[in-house]
Amino acid sequence: MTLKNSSFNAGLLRETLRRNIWAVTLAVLGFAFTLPLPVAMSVQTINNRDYAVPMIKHLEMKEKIQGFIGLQSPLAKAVMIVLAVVCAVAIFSYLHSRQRTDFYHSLPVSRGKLFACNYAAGAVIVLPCYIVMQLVAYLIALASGCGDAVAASQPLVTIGANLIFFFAVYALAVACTVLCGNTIVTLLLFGWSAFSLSAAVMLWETLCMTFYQTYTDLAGFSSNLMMRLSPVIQYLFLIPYQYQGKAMYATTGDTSVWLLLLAYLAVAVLLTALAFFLFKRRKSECAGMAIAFNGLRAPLKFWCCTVMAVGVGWIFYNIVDNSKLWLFFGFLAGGVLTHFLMEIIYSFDFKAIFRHWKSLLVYGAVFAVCIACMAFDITGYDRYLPAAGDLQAVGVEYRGYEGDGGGGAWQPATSEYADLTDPENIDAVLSLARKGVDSLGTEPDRTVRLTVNYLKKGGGEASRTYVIPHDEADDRLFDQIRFSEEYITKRAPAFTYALTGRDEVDVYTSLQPYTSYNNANAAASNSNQDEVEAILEALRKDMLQFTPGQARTEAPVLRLVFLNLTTREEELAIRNGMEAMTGYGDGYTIRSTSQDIAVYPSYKETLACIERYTGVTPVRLTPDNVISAELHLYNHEDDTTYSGQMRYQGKNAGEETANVTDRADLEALLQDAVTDAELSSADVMFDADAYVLGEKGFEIIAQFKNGQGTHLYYPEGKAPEQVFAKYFPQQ
Amino acid sequence: MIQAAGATKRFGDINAIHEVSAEIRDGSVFGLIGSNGAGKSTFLRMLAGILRPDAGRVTIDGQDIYENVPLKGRCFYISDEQYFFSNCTPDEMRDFYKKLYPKFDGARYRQLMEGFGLDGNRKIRTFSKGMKKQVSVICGVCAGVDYLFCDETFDGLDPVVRQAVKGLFAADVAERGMTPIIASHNLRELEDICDHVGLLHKGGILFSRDLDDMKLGIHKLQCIFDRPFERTMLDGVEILQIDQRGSLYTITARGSRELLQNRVAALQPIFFELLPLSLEEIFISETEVVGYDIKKLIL
Repeated sequence: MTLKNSSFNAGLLRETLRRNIWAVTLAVLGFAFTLPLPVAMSVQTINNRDYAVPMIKHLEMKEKIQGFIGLQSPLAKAVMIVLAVVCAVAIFSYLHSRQRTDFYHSLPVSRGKLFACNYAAGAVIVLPCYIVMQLVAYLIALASGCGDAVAASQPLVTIGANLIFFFAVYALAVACTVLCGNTIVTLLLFGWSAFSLSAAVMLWETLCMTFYQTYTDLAGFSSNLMMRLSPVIQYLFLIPYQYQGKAMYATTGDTSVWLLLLAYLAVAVLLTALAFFLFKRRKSECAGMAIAFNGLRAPLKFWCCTVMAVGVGWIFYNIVDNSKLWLFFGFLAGGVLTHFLMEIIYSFDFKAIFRHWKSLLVYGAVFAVCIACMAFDITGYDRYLPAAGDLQAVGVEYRGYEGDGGGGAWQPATSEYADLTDPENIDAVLSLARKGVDSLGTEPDRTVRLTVNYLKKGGGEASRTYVIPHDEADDRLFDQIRFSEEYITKRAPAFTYALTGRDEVDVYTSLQPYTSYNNANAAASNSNQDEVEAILEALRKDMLQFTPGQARTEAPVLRLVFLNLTTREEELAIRNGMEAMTGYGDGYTIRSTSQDIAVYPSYKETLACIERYTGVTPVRLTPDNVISAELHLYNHEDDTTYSGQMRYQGKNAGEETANVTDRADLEALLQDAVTDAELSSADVMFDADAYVLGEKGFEIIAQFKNGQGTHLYYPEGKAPEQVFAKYFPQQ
Repeated sequence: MIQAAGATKRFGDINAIHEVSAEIRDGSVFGLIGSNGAGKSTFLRMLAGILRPDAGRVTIDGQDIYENVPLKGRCFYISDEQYFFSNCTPDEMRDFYKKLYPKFDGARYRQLMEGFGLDGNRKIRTFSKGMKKQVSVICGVCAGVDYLFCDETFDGLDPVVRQAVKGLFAADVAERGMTPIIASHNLRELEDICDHVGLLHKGGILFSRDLDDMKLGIHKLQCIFDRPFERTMLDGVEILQIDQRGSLYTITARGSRELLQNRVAALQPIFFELLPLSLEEIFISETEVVGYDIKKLIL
């Protein structure tokens, strides 16, 4: 008869702990060196420095301490991951020795209890050490007067996340140890399990990008998936930060951190259940084999072959200038070599290299068929076009002339890229997409890049990117979308900018190019909240009245930059999750969360508001405010790849220059000119592509009397050709 | 009682145990013999509940042993390569076993450790192979179990210790009905302790018999006759083997001592002697009957 269950379990657990006392020592040292010690050292370092403002010292100390006791600390995470793997492998590796397996499995202990005791031992070795060291680190922070660092580090989230990710990694390592019959193979399998799914997502994306003409990653879906599929990566990149006083976490996206932790808790539970199931099913005689479950050998091998084939193919493809031939060679080399390697590992015998070659041939054929399906788009990925009735919403990006970079697009205010629900907009987007589908395989001279996003009624999402021939009708169709009330109110910066009650508006004219968030270069600034709001409201009204026709003929005359104002203390306070404090700082202003908006001649009410509240009116470029203009002419042959406003980037050895100071010539140059300041806006209301440097590779740089300078651009057909002809007669 | 019914165990393509059926009576010493690779250790590991049969059953008192904790609490397995926790002492192993085997006899353990001249506080890793075996045997005997599975346990023990261990087993069998099952490829080691033997060969059991029955039912006769011996002279006696060296006939025959003595005496031999058979000789005879060349099977 055995002892009663409870006392027996405790006894066996004690024995396991006693035999693994080295792991306890390792855990104590690991956490001591990553939690309390760095905190103590940081406190000492900051205490030794002189600070003019005590609060700054406090905040810096707090920030430092938080970096060690919060989830920011990569060191504590690394120790946690290493200990999870080491403990799992050390405790369960008895399964890899026949001698030890026979010993344990001959004892009057059920497999279930044996698993429970061993599993619990790993957790008991690591977690109390971690919790004690975390608490010691908190105590040091409290003792150094930085109790707010403890609160700001969100102890519950920090400890909860560390525990949950420990269990997720630990359970994965235990499952791998049980699956294998050899410790080296266990470590390889753990590494593979922890990262291969993420690698596969990345490689899948590269395959899609290689073979599908219209492939688009859906709002970072792939990168999110890569993160989510590896507890190790997710854990390491789960980094907290403060945004507008709120605690946020990198990599969580829109998901709440608790929901994410709950999901990983579920993953940990599932992996533990899987490890338990495998442990109970595992045959004792598998000790010493590479893989303890014969049924797993082939799937694992072919999974490795697939990932490695695509990985090697991708490397070759990139090395040899995107050569499809080398891509296929990489597939072959990666797949076959991995198969050989896996057979050698499975048998621990180099002579087994050619084993199962028939299954390799079958696998190769299946792989080739799959690649062929992608290469020939058998599934109709590129030609996919949903019915309007199936769609809940759409999104569109119409990026102007290919390679031009002009025009741009407003990003949606939320992470939902398909946010247009108006049936007219849906129809227009589908019409553009249809044009994209019809254009597949063509190679037109002038193209437009078009990205469409679909949100289906069932909740499914899809995204495609097309390169379509440029067509005036398409421009008008896109104008219909971008000048719709829905598009503007959902995406225009004037509508997405949120007033905080501490805002400023900076006004820039043609003579005061916008350079940074610092308003030193602005023609005027206004931080009267009522007036800022009035300007914004006027802007919104005018924007809704603006027509595509006006956008084609008008260039911006002013630039407004809206900013949220904070002080450096407030910024630090916000970053550290505290209430904004006053009376401590030097009053230095921080500008953040800005929106950059262009103002057109048609924005009558806005212009009136700006004049009323800032005194600024648009400034026309004339020889009175421009000293001179430098003309640059480039070798046209070497510059043919550039067009429009980007042409000046093609500077090369064929450059010729001339300086224009003659008033009449300057007047001619400035008459229809538009400046950098006006064109570099992310504003998509006007057609930036209509403005070019000149037809023959000219570049003009105007020098203002106020010391500033700018490039000049012209509407198509209005470039001052006669001035160029005068200064470069040979052209 | 331990029963194996059609027990089969395969390791990949290898049939380690193939449809073995045997019965081991409680309170007897069962010797499991066979050549290297015959499947003795595998069969023993199945009996100890370490391996699950791929087919057939291995039971104690009608219950399957695999994953049967109460049954396994009545068994102790001494492996041919016994495992001890790294850096531990015999006393620490005793403490561990005491937690698992409630009937573990600590007083007897101390007595035996002293008797065998072993230091309970010395690290086991510093022990010789034979001393480690002694520790295993002492722990097994003191565990107070009903079944003791010994895999090549006598290997590495010196003759004195070997006899002492046999004495221990005999005492436990006599006093509390313990059933040791001893696997070995050395027949001479088992001869003076086993009540019952089973011969495994290539994963299958050739036979399983009571040793006394075999010894009583088979004899070796050495005779010199004044005329050539012919089989017909002993009609009605099952002669297993006849070996002639000059005029000396060595006859292995089945039958009771009295029957054989009377039949041979009636032939008026010049010289006649009835000799006991060693276990090895019995097996050679028995296996040759069923068509095996024992010299290739054992040793």
